Amino acid sequence: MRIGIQLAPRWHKILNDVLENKARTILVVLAIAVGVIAFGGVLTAKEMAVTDMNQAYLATHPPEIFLYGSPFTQRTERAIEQMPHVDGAQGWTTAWLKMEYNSEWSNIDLYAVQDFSDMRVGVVEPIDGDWPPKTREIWFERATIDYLGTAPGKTITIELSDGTRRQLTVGGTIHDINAVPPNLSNWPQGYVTLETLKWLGMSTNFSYVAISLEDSITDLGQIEQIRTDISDRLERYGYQMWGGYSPTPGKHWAADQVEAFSMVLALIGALTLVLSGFMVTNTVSSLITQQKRQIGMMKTVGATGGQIFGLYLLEICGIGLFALLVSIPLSLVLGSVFANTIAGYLNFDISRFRMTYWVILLQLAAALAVPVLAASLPIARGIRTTVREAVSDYGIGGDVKQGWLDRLVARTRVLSRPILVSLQNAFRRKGRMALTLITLTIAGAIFMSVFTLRHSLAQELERVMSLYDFDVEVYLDQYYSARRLEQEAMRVPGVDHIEGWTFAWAQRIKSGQDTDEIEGGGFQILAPPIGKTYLKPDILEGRWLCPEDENALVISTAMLAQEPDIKVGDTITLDIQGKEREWLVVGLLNAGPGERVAYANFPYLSRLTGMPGMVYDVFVFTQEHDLQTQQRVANAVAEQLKSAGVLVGQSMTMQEITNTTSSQFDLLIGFLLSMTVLLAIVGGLGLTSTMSLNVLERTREIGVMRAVGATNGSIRGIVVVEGMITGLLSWLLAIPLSFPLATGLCTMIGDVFFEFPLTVSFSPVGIIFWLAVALVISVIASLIPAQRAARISVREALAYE
Amino acid sequence: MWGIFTKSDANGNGAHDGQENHLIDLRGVTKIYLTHAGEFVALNDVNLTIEPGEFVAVLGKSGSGKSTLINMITGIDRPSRGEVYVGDIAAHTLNENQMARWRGRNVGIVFQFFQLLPTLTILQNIMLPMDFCKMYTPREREQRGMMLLEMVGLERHAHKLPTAISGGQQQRVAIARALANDPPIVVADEPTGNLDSRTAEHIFEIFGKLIDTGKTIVMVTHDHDLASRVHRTIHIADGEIVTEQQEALSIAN
Repeated sequence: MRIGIQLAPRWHKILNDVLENKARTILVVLAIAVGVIAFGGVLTAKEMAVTDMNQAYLATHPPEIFLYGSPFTQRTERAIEQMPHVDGAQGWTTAWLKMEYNSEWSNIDLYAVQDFSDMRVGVVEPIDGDWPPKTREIWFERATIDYLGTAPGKTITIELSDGTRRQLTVGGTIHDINAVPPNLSNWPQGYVTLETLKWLGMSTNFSYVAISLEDSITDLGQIEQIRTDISDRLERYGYQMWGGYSPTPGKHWAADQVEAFSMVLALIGALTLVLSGFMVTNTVSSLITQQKRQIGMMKTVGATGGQIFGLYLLEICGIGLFALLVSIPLSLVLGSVFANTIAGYLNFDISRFRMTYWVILLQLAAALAVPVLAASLPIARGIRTTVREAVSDYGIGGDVKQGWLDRLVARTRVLSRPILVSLQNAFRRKGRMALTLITLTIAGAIFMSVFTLRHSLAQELERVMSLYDFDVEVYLDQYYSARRLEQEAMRVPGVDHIEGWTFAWAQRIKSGQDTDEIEGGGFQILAPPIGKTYLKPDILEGRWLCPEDENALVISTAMLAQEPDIKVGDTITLDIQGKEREWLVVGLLNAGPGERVAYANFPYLSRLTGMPGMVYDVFVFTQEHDLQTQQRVANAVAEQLKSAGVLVGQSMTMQEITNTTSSQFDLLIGFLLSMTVLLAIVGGLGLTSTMSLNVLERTREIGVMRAVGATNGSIRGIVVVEGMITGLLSWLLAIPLSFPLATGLCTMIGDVFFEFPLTVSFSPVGIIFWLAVALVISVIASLIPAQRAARISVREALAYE
Repeated sequence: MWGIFTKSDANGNGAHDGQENHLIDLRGVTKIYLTHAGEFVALNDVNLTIEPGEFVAVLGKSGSGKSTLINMITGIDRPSRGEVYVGDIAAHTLNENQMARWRGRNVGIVFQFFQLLPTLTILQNIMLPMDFCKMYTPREREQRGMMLLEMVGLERHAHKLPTAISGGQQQRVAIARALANDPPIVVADEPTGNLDSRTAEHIFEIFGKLIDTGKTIVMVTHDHDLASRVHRTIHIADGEIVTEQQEALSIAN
C-alpha cells in the first residue's frame, strides 16, 4: 500500500486542472501578466523617473526664485544673500550667439557664473575635464556633447553679434539638470567663465540671479512674497528690475508633465489589466461549462457550493500569482526602460534599478483581484448547476438556439457554406464573443485615438505655425531703429519685407494678504507694429488690438493658466521697468504651447520702455519659402546687419522652430503607442483563447464535419475566417468608440502640455492602420486553434465529452 | 482500528416526527418538468418506503421515471409535491449546501457512466468525498481509500487515472467512492448498464457483500435477471409504481 500523499484530492484537482490544459493556462497567465506588466511597468517608471528626477534636482540646491534686472553683479549676489530667508544667490550671465562645429552653424546659448567651483544655487556637476572651466574654454552639458558629437579637446568657433569670430576649446563635460536638453530646445548650451565672456567682448553683468531660500520655506505664496520683498529692496538700491518668477518648489521643471503623462499611461495599463480580466472570464466560463459534470459529481459526493467556489477561485488565484511572478521582473524591466528613456530625454539619471514595494503590492492586488473578480461570476453561475442538470447534460451543442443571424444565414445564397458556418459560429457564444470584441475594440479605439492625438498635435502645430507667418526671426543684442533695420535688411536679395517688434518684461502686481502688494508671475509683453503684422491672432475671447489702443493687452491661454484669475475686461496692474501702469485686458488668444505672453501695441510699449520706434526682434519675410531660401536669407540678413554695425544675437528659420516644437512630442506618441501594443497583445491573446475554446467545445462538431467530407483546409479556413470576422467587427466598433476616447486624450494631453484642450483632428491613417493590425492579429490568433481543429480525427472527436 | 464499514443501524437513524421506522419514506411524491412541449409528469403521487438493509431494484422502461425516483431519494432532484424522508431527515426541506453535505455522508451514489473525475487518480477520486465532508484524518483517508480499493480488487491501480482502466474497473472505483464516507444507503442508477455480463455479475457480487454488512441499496436496472436476485423489485411505468414484488431468493444465489 502506497501511503504518503500529502495533498488533499481537491488540491490535486486544482493542480491537475492547471496542468492538464497547458495552452489554456499559459494564455490566461500571459493575459494577466501582460496587464500586470503594463500597469506595474508604468507605475515603476513613474516612481523611478519622478523620484530620481526630483532627487537629482534637489541635490543641485535648486532656486526658488529667479530675478531679472540690471545691473546685476557679484555685489548684487552678496546683497541678496544677506536678505531674510535667503540661503544662497547665484548670478548667471547669458549670451545668445552662433557657433560653428563640423562646418555647420547653429545657435548657442552661453551661460557663465563668477566661479564654477563655488556654486551655491542650481549647482552643475562636472563629469570629465579639468574642473573648473578656464578662460577661453567652453564646457558642454553632457546632452549637448552627444547632440553635437564633439568631445573635450576639440575646438568650436563662436560668432559674436558684430560678426567677430573666436575659437574656444571644449574643456570638459558637465551635467546641468536644470538645463533644457538640446533634443528639446534644438540648440546647444555651453558654459564659460565670466573671463571668457569678457574676452569675447561681452557684458559680464549677470542677466539674472537664481535664489534659493531656507529649507523650511516650501509654500509658493510665501516664496512669491519673499520674491516681491527682494525685488522691492533691489529697486530701492537703484537696480532696474525687469521681473522674475518662482517655479513650483522642489519640483523639476518637467515633473508635472511626467507625472500627468505617467497617469495617462497608467490608465491605459489599468485598462489592459481589466481587458485581461475579460479573457479570464471567458476561459473560466468555458472551463466551468466543460466541468459541469465534475461539479455535479463533486456535489454528489458532498461538496458544498462554497467549497466548489473556493476550489475554482483558488485555482484562479494560483494562476494570478504565477502571472505575478512572471510579471514582476518583466514590469521592472519595462519600467526601467521607460524610466531610462524619460531620463535620457530629459537629461537626468536613474540612480538604480529597483523594486518599489507599493508598486509590487499594487501588482499583487491587481494580479489577484482582477482574475478573482473576472472569474467569480462564471464560477458562481457554474456552481448553481444542479447535480441533475450536470449529470444529464451531454451531446452536441445542446444549448444552441436559432437566432435572426442563423435564419438569415440559412437563406443566404451568396456566401459559401464554410464562410456561413464561420459567421454563425462567431456568434454562438454571445457572451464570450462580446468580451472578446470589447477587448479588441478598446485596443483598437485606443490605437486610433493615439493616431488621432498624433494627427491633432501635428494639426495644432501647423495651426500655431500658420499664426506666425514669417520665414526668419532675428534676435538683436540691443534696441535699434526699425527704419534703419528695414533699410539694411531690404538690401538682401530674396527679402520681401520685414517687421520689427519690441518686447518688455512685465510683472503683475496683485493685492497681498496683508494689504502689501505682491508680485505675480513675470511674463513678456510682445508688441507687433500697428496695422499690418504677420501675426494672425487666434482670438478665443474678446478682441485683437486696435490701432488706437494704448494700454490694452491681449493675453495668451498659457499666461491665463499662470494667472487664472484674469478675465477679459479686467484691469490689471503691471510693473514694467519699475513703472506701474494699469492695463485693460481686451482679449484672450491661443498663442501655442507654453507661450506665456501678452500682446500690446508697439507705440505705447516702446514709449513706456523709453525706446520709441526701436525694435529688438526682426521678422523677415522671404519671396520664396523653402528651407534653403529661409536658411540662405537668415544668414545673409544677419551678415548684412552685422556689416552695418548691428549686433545680432541669433536667428532661426520657421522650419527650425517647427522642428523644435514637433520633436518635443515624439516621445509622448512613442510611449502611448507602446502601451497600445500591450493592449493589442492582450486583445490577440483574448482572441486566441476564444478561438481555442470555440474549437475545443466544438470538437464533436468538427469530427462530424470531417466525417461528412470536410478537408483539413476547410476546417482551418472555418476557424480562421471566424477569427477574422471577430477582428473585422472589432474594427468597425472601434471607429465610433475612438471618437470620444480621442477627444478625452486630446483634452488631457492638451491641458498638460498646452494648457488648453487640443482641437481633435481624426486620423484616417489610424483607422486604416488598425484594420490591417486587427486582421493580422485575428489571423495569427486563429492559426494555432485552426491547426488544432484540423488535427482532430473523427474517432477522437466523437469520443470527446 | 476502524473497519471499512460500520455496521449500519438496522433501524436506520431513528424515526422522524414519530412516524414509522422506515429508512426511506416517500410520501405522495410528484415531479413535474416544464418542457417546451408543456408539462411532463415524471412521477405521479408516488408513495414508497424502504427498510434498513433492504436491496431494492427499480425496474421500468426508458422514460418511465426510474431515475427521477432515485433522484428524489438522493436529493439530486426535488419533488414538485410530496415529501421525502431519509433516516431522520426531511430531504425535501434541505437547501443545496445542506443537501450536498448530508448526501456526501449518508448516501453513496453509483452512476451508469461512472462519473469519475478524469484529472484525479483512482485513489484521489475515492478520497474526494472524505475530503469534502471532512471525514477522517488525512492519513486515515488514504488508508481507507486503499482498503476500499482492496475491497473492489483494484488496489494495484490506485495511482492510475480513470482513463487507464476498463469500464468495469471504473465502475468498481465508483462503488468504492460511493462507500468512502461509509453511508448507510447506496443508490445506483443502472450500475451495470454499460458493462458486459461478467463484469456486471462482479459488480452485483460487491453489492451483495454490502448488503451483508447492513447497507441499504436502491438500484435502477434494466436487467431482469439481476432484479430477480434482490429483496424487492419495484416496477414503475409512466411515473407511477405499478407493482412491488418481494423476492424470496437470497442475494448470494
